[in-house]
Amino acid sequence: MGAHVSLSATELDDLLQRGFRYAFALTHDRDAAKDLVQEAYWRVARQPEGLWTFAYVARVIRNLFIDQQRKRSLWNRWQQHQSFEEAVMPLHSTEPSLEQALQQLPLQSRELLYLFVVEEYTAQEIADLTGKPRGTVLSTVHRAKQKLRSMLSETYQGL
Amino acid sequence: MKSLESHLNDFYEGINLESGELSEVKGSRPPETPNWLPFLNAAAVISIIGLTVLGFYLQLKPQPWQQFAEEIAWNHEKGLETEFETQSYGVLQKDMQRLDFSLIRPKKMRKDLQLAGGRYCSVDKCIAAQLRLHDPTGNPYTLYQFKHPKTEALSGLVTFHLPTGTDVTLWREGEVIMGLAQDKKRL
Repeated sequence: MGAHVSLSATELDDLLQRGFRYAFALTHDRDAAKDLVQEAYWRVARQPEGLWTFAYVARVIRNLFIDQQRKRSLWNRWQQHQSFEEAVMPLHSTEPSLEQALQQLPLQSRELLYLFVVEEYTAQEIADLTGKPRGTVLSTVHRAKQKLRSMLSETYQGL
Repeated sequence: MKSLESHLNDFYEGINLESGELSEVKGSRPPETPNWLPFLNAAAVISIIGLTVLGFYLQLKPQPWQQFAEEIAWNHEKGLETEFETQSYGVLQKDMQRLDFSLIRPKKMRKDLQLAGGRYCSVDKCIAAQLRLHDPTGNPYTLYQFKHPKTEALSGLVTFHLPTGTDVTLWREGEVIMGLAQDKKRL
């Protein structure tokens, strides 16, 4: 690879793993997440060293993902149901696992929840990344938590 | 009891690229961009800009129809004598050999206008046939026929009501522009 960065190998690995998790939060699909990280890495590697931050990597991944969604919806009309704002999986008849419950969340909720809880972004930082109002970020995260709690109340007592 | 946040953190901590996958990501090269692709993109951009400018140019540049109508109306109002007197378009065609097109009986003009004769004239520096006609009640009409570089751009009927009291209608038949002038409200 032609990338010449001064991050240590461990720091670079950590950055890519975080990018992969974020991509997974968007796609909920390992292969698709890996492809996103791969392409994001190619793009980020061409940029100056100072841009090698999670915030920048996340922005690149997000833009790539949105581009993919747009192309897909152009070619397959039925996939509009899985658009960035509305993707919802069918409900499970039995108590779902956390993974299944996350999969049932709207894509936007899953993304914001990941950034808020796992990456510990502030609402303002998420608003800056996603272009959504801060209030929308907070209410979306709140509703996502409520929905997860309601779906997982039996599986995870005391949530 | 673990909180929802802890469960979420644990879940995502378990989402990792395997070491082999990580090496694959870091070790791969992006697909090569074909050498000609940048040139193709540049050509596309230049073409779009060129077409846009051309579109603006064609749209903004006024068509000469108004000028034609004014010239025809002015000559109609002068009522000059004809050089060749005939009621036949065929005979007139033979008489007017200097024209660079064939005189025709217009298909889109009302049928009751009778040819009386014609003379040479010009419109916008193009040689033209100025034909004198009249309707059954004797009202005079002037029909112009001429070939002009802008002929192709004329579509449909274009009528001008000129302040001098003359109406002029322009249309195209084949490669020839027709311009019929008459005193107002007789068309």
